[in-house]
Amino acid sequence: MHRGDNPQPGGSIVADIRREWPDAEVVGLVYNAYESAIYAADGPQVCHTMPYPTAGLPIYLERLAEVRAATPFDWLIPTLDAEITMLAGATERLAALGIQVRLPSAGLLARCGKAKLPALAESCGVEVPETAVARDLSEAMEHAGRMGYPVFVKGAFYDASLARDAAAVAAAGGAILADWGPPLIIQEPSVGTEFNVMGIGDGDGGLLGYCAVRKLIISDKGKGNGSVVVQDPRLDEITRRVIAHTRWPGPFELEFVRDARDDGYRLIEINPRFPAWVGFPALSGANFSAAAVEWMVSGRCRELPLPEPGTFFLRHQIEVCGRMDQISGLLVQHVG
Amino acid sequence: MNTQSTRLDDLMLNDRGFVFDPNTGESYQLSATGLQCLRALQRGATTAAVLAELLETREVDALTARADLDAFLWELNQLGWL
Amino acid sequence: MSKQPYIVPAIRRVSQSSANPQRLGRTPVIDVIDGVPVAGLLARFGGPLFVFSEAGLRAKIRDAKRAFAAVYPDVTFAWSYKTNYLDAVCRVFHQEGSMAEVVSGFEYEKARANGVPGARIIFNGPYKTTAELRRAVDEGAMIQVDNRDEVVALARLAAEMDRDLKVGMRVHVDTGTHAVWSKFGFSVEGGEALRMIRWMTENTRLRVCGLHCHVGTFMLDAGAYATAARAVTELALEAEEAGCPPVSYLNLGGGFASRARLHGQYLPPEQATPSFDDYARELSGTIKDCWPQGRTLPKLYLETGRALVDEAGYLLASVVAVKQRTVKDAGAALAAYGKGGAGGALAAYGKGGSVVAAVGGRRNAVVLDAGIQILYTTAWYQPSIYPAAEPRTGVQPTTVYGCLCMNIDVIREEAALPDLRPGDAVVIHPVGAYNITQSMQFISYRPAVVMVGTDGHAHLIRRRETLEDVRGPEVVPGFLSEINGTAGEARVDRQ
Repeated sequence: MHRGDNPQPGGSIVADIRREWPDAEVVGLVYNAYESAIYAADGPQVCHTMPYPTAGLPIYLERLAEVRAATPFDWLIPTLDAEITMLAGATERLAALGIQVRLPSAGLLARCGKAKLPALAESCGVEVPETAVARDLSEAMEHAGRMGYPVFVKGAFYDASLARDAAAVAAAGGAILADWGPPLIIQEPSVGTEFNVMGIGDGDGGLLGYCAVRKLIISDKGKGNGSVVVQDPRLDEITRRVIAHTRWPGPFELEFVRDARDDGYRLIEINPRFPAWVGFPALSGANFSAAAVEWMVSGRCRELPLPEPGTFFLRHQIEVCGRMDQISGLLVQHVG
Repeated sequence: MNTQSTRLDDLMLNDRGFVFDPNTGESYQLSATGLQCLRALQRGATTAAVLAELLETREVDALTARADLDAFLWELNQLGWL
Repeated sequence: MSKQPYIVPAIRRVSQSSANPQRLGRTPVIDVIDGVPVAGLLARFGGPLFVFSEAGLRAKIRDAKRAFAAVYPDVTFAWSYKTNYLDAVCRVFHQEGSMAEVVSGFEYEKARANGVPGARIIFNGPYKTTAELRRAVDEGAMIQVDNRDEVVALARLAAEMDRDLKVGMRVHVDTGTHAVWSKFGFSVEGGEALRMIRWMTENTRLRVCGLHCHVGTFMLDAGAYATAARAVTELALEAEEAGCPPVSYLNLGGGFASRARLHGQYLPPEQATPSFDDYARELSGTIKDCWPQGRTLPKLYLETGRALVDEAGYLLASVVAVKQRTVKDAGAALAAYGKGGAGGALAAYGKGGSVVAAVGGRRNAVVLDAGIQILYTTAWYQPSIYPAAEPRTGVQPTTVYGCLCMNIDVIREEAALPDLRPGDAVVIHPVGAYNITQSMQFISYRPAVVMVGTDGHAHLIRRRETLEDVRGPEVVPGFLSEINGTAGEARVDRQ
């Protein structure tokens, strides 16, 4: 639900659902009482704190049941990778709690993981940067040495940094191993411009709508703080091919680099969720969050008009106002 | 206007044991007994009275309670509240 | 008026990173093990106390056998002695039909003492003396030869006995995703393994009838077994093509992960640990793919240890002291939490915040009556620590110290625990793999071990050590027989 620095998609999704259905009851599930959308006027009506996904599925489900008892809800829309990975295999257990989800299968998610992406891309006929999986730092340095510097050092779930020499691989790899554990992904950096495609797959190989942008402004952390809508038949075709091949169900974001060396697109990542900029197309009439809800519930959704090429967004931060007693409300300890 | 108010009275304290210190902007969470003690102190109770209340309401021996209470008061003192 | 339970009057600063009381989840209580109350076990046997569940052991080996039997015609499990060679534990596995897998003369003797015939013993390891090899040969054990010097020693024995000797050969394989365990056996990729099989066939009376490959330990990627199985299957076929005797069995060693959690492991075990079915599918699918159609599949041996015993083992310990630890600042606490495997979530979900971190924080800490001298696996894994009674408060990140007078004796940097008081019992789990065999007598006595049987009773399977256990082997030289005019009680060497 955080929409400040390094924003997450949850806050935008809630705002767009409430824009479409002003009476929708939206319960926000947060990991921290300081996530900004908790306090936004277009944020959820009520929020509850959740255990981290690392606490494990049983504890997570137990808390969901408790939240649902306090504030009933029917559908759950996980918006973060770790949640989706955890809940994908738990559809039936969620249903037993009266909670419905519509998520990619655990098998599909595994095939899209960073370490497995090259194999998936090859089967779709899509190019990816050279990628190697390392279990420890010495293997990471070996791969990096073979590829030649610089290389990207990535965690299996999160974090990526560019390393220009062996020492940087060790430093970045060590930090990622400490936070996320093995393996490390060593990837050849594609030098070029970054393109992202967000959309909704129908689960049968079709595309219910998408929006392709090129990053305009990149923060020092590599986040896109501004992007412009593009229309390139090649990018459209690659996107359709990946979605058709994976029979992608629901929201996704594909990250590409258009490599300066040969002008070819390289697929960098497949994210099983909307990006933080999901609210942008809604401003010009393509409310992807509302469409995803319709798809989730009925398997069909409204038409999502392609935003006009040349339309752009800039990330614009504003302040939201809360009171300490709201924080304290979220900090209630449930003593066993 | 009372300009002599002590720091202890300024604290924003709720029934959940959440404390906001308007002077520093820091927030704190008290345990149930911590809340009980702080409330007693706000009412002006002496250390002996706070201890007596703990012993009366909780299953604890006097020496343990005294050791824990003194450590707690020392912490409040460190925060500048006493 | 009845009094309320006591909890310590405490105050904690709420930092941006800790602004979620649910973040660690809730730690369930373990107050009974297979129906036997934890408090009763501690009262009867004293603490700390290792507890093994007979039902847990049997359930695991049966699940493993079921998974493999479902997809492969001929699979035999051999119990890995080094993982846990308590006789009672070994005998449960032997009763369930497991052979013994030993890696030293000592373990060989222990298996024989358990009544395992030589022909039901797989003899592995890089160090086997000639005398040990001779006994193993005489008793018909399955020897898995590790290196060239052992080949030579065995070849001499075969010549001396004037007979062919069947042996298995240990090889190592690059699975691509895990470090190669090149300490053991011969390299497949480099062609060393094939050359040695041919050399043995042509120059000795050793007949390689099996190939053994142990890819590594705690393999969270079941796919590594497919790579290894492909390599050994192809090697077996190449050797046969080169005129060597046919390979009749493949031994894919151990390495299946238990539901333990590595330091820094992001996914919780119930998601990260593959099932026996996952491993079985990878192994069986690959061997069947590579093996010539219509020919009898090779027999498959597995030496699974950790995955069978880890979760059946518990350590019961008690809190002896409660402390408050000063942690530098919220950031440091987060970094430490990350080590626990969950800090990553903070990095992902909390890093974005820009709430000013101010004064230093406090963290709960407890000292237990058990330490890392009996929990050697805490060097790699973070066991869960459960309260043994209903908690009085919600959970807080809590550092769990061991009892040793050593700064490194930290069992968990950050466990999610409620407020504990001296005397409160906790249950540490899973600890069934390696902790018994690797525990050391250091600073205090090694604890007793009990097995909770399927009969519903707790049985002592190893008593607590005594001073005599430790001093028994010691001898004091004559010149140290007296100190300050007192002889004390020592076994004095009078020569």
